[in-house]
Amino acid sequence: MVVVLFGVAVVTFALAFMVPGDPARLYAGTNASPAAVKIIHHQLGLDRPVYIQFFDYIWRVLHLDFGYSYRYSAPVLPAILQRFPATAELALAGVFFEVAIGLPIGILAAARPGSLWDRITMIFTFVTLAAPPFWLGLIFLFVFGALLPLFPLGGYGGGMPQYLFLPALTLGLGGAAYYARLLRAVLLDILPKDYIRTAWAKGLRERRVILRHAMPNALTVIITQLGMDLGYFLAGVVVIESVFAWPGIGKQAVDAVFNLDIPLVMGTVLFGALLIVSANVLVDIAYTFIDPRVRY
Amino acid sequence: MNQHRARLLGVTVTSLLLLAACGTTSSTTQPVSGGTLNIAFKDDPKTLDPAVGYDTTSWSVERALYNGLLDYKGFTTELTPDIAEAMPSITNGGKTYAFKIRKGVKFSNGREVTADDFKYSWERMLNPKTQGPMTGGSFWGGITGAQDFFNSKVDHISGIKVVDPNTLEVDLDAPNQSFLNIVAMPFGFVIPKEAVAAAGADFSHKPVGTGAFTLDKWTAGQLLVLKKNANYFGKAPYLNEVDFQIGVTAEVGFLRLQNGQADLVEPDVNIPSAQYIQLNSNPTFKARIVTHANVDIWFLAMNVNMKPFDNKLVREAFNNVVNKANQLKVLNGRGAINNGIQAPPMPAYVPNYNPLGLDKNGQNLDKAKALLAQAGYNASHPFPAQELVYAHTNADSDNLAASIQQDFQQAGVTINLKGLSFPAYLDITGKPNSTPLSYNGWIQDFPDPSDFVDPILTCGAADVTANGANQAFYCNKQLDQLADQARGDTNTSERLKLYQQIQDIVAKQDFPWVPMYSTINTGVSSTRVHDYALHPVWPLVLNNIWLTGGK
Repeated sequence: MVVVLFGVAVVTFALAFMVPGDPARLYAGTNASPAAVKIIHHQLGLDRPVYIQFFDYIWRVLHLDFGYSYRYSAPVLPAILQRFPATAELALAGVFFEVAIGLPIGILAAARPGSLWDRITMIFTFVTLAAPPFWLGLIFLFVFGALLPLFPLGGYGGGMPQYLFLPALTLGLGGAAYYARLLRAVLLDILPKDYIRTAWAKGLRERRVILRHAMPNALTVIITQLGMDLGYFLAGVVVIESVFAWPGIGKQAVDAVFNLDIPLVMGTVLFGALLIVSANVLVDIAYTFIDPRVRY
Repeated sequence: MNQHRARLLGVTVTSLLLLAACGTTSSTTQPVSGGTLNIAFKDDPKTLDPAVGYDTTSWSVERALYNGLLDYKGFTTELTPDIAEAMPSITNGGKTYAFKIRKGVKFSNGREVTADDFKYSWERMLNPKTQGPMTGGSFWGGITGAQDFFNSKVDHISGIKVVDPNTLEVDLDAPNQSFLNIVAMPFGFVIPKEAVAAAGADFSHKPVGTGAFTLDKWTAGQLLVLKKNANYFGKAPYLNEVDFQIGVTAEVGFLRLQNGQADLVEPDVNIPSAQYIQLNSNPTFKARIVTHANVDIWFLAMNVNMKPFDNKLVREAFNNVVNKANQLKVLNGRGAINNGIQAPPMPAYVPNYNPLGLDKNGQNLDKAKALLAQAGYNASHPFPAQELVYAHTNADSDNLAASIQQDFQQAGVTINLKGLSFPAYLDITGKPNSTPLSYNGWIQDFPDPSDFVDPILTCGAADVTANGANQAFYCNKQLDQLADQARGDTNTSERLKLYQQIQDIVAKQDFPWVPMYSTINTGVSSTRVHDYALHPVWPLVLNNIWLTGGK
């Protein structure tokens, strides 16, 4: 984990410095004089050798000091932590919709392969996978926020559920389609197996056969993907956050990129990497409970 | 119903309708105090520290929180006293300004403002440790002693003097007719020393000023709330509260406007073209669009030190190619062709200025081709393809650049487009010998002709060791002399003539630019908002706005 995080820090730092542009110029303002830009360049420590800037940064990160945002003149880590709960809410709600919509669809499609229901669900998954999330989000906002004002037009609303519903649904639909197709494919592989035939032969009902006998073996694949998704979502879902004015770390990170706010970019990437790595570790632990054969 | 009763009913109904109409008219013409204005913004302000903020979002909020010695009268570009009792007395050949500060002006923490506060605020603003954009020189560098202060040789600026608690005197190294405009900038706003000390490094999030509003709450990425300042020395605003909804994109913002969930949408920027077309086709909102000529100029800059633009004939040819009317079509007609360097609301602007005799579209393709031939370009020696560098600043950027590309194609010149993010664009166009041709805009810092010359057309601004704003890297000593002379000339009409001479040198003689157009700013408000107007200088003015019924 430490090696991964260090690698992420190196790559992010290198990429941030390869991007053209002078953060001091942006910090000072486009109309600022060259003299002011020079002074600010020095004040921000940007005139130091790159390797010194890097080691200084790593040393401070190890002391949980992620530096100061160039744009907001505020410490980076508190800025990230202040926005993280909003991202976490959205991520968990998005995963909930992925599972709540995707799994039942996948199970039903696998249980009735080739049927009208199977075809309808597969068309649904094609459409939702193909639809860009920002487009879907804007459509939902227009239809359910403006035309039929059932939900607010974006925003956080202090965390009230009605503000969370549309962005979470938009986030979850794409994943739901993917999980539906994944689960369908995995179950179609499992259902012809001998132990499933045995279960049928014992006279068990369809629901018990699928849920009790087939699903546990299908879940390992689903949980792997869920863990990756959760980690990815926790690192910030930029497009959804931007469309719905959701004050999470994803949007903050994109704004930081466009403003060449290197400390904030690096801090968010490192924080996101930590979450993704942690999510993977949790998934690995979860395996041991799902599949007794897996032991570390 | 008999005739008598019917007549009585008719008279009664008519009377009631008339009374209702009178009531409605009077309630919509008489400002009413109260209510909360909701404004949708895409981003948080970068800062609320007036020493640091140099973007329209920050200035939109700062204008409500702070005051300076001077302001602009109403919605004009005429300076007027604000915290100063009167316009300053100017002596010593235009080098000494004495400001009397009115008594009884208080910060929102209750303490009265003194001349010491201005000395503190300005020195803090110019101190390199504050990391503000005015440090090192720029507009305030002409104050006596400022250069030593920038170089940390002294602790205070000798040219800023506190004569008594209500008198501030400022000495300049040389006369500068734009100094009062500089004082009126947000960098000149006054702040209390004790509030800065209490806030530590976080004054940008804990502002204390003298403005009509105070900061009540700021949750980054979500909401910024201003409340009416009970200690405000001026005419109290009508609004009780202003809520800035942060993180709202233009598409969602205008949906909220139409649904009544927002009253203004990003008032510090022009309405995006897609939303402008939509609003303009809605009768309700079309009537609510307000406009004002922007103090800006948009132009192509040709690097005079790089081939082929080191050849004046080529630069003159390029001045005859661009179809400026097409540029305005991309902007839905929100602009005016400008063949000069000064913007329409400025006193040095020359109406219908057309030194090259261009047609109504701003073109003369035949002359362009003839000039290129004269420069030696023909079928056997074709003009080399050029790259036009531009910034992706908004949804129109690509279309504007594509229109330029088409214009040059008609003249037989191949233009390849290179759109960059704004930071990359600034970086590459600021480096010498890097960008032969770029698409640029310059928006005022203050409404004085010097702001459209000194930072962008002088030799100092073409300093190759610094990332300056003179993207043509143009340097003409004669122009510099005229600019120096004009800066300090106390005779207004002579001064304007000097700036017009400078304009002729650029647009008629040397051609470092292809001036194209100045924009018209547009804004729109919800149906409950009254007296919302666009200011020629400030991105947002809240003091006059009131809401129907005060709610």
